[in-house]
Amino acid sequence: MDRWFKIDNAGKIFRSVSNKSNTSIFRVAMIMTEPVQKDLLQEAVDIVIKRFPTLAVRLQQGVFWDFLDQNDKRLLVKVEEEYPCHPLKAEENNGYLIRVLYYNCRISVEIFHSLTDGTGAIEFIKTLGYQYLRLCGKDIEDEGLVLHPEELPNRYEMEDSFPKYYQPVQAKRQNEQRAFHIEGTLLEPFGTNTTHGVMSASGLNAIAKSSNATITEYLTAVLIHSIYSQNMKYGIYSKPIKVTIPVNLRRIFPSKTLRNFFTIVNVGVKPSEELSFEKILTSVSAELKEKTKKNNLNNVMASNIKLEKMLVARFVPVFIKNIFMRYGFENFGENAKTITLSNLGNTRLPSSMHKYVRQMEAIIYPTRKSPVNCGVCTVNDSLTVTFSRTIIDTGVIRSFFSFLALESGLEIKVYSNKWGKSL
Amino acid sequence: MNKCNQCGIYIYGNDNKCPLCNKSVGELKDTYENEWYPAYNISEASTGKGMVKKVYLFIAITVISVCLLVNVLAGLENLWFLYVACPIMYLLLLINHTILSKVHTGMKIILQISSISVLLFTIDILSGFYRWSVNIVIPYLFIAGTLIITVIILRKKMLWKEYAGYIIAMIFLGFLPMLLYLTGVADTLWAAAISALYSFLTVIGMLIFANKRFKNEVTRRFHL
Repeated sequence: MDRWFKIDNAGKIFRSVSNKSNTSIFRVAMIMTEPVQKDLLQEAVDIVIKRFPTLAVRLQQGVFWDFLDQNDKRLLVKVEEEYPCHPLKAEENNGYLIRVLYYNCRISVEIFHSLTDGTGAIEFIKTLGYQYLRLCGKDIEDEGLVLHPEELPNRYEMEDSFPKYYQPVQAKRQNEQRAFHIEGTLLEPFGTNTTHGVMSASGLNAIAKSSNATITEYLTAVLIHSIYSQNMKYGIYSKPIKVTIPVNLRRIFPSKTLRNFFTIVNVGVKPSEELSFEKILTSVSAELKEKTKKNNLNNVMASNIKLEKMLVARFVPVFIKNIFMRYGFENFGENAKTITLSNLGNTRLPSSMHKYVRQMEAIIYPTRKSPVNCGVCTVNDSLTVTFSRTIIDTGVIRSFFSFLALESGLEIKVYSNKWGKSL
Repeated sequence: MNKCNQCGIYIYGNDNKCPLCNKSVGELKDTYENEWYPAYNISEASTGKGMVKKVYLFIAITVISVCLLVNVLAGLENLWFLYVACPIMYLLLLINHTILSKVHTGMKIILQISSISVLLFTIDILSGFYRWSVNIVIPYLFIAGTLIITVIILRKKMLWKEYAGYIIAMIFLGFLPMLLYLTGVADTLWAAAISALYSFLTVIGMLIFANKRFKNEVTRRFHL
């Protein structure tokens, strides 16, 4: 079959803006209880990649839009040698925009964001982990929680859900106030440092619940508090601290797509001398609940799709569109946020797989104006918060984990990839 | 697990340094099982082809700037430095892109055809603009480019998908000489007409011999 896919609404932006300092490549990883065997992992990839045709693609250039073409070459598994989310050279990867890496007990999948979002990536790594464990001879069942590798992909998984669920409304794009940006000296040599903190998901949930908040709301508040206490407490700052939170639209619309289907909301707090953690949490909870209501999310989605559907814009060659998209991304997207916090949620694995999977990680690529980003992933009651950074300063990250450990009383186990001279 | 009392966290794995504050805590353990990441092999300086490309770029800039300076000091009546600068820039593209880079051969062919056209057009203008470039050479260069990609596709049918975009681009370029004639840049019709006819016949050939695949490819490349 000779398949091709249009790049979806969210994916078009990532295609336009990606470069060395903003790779648009994110990682999800599964830490197994035993070291990974390369040959079996390669065998598993060979089987599983056919189940995910929207990931088995190469990028092709078009006149008005680029597109994704079916890739029949082999996706080769590689040992991890570079820092996470480093730029993807298509010609070195048989044209794939996805890489599968292994190191010790970790299986990592790094994906160019034009292909899918966190949900799609989690589904892929679940199926990959399941198939790998089966090839290892483990007695496991899918229990209806894993997309079975031998099933045929259905068309709902391959659909672009943005135009399907988009409801045209007179949505005006709100000009957001410029946010405070974390600044610092870039790591030398340039790369991404990752710092992971592992904690009990139920423990954190209990603490968040005691404050009438969800885990995402609680972590967002801790993050804002950390940025405030490390960067702004003793200065005069007028710009708000804003956290960009990707929202999975599958929770609102009945989509089964494995492609991008998310939007983002910005949650912010203006710094003041009397800013306490409790005040931040109350404000964040209220704002996030309001902004994630269906109507509001539909408005955000509609304003994004409106631009793509403009008749005049459609006939503009893609290289000119890319210039405008880069400008929009830098001036409206990046300027309006301080940091991204992406919570991929609790990954439900079959109970027979639990004893073989220790934890999962999600790494969000940093960008030039957002040099520290945060990814959260949970499996088997083990919640991993991962900070990725391209700057030397660790103040925010240290403050974040220390707050959680000292104020909330959680036991937090921290490790890092040690990239950069400061460590 | 070692604990950092200052940060209040446990250090997960082999390390005896706190990943947050960098202070030493406890003893270093050396077991592979608890190793989270590889020891990165960092080479700060450019090596291999990257370094060679930089050397050629530096040599090109040096030669062009020296020629420009001599030209300016000797008087600007005759801009002879352009005769040096244009071929050097072409050579730079030839070495750094066509020879040393890993980009697709189709892209290399298109860029070669385009850059040779620009080089000859510039030399034509500098030497009095007798229009030999736009009247004769450029139309035949485009025909040659289309022919080369067609031959590659015919010989290696498996590579059809990879070259489809480039043949479509060359077909469009084939009509460019006619546009130059219609706008008065070129003043000889026959070469421009041959180039346009060749592109037209290539389209017809594609429609007859690779109808479905060619239509699919056009649909993909031009989707809105």
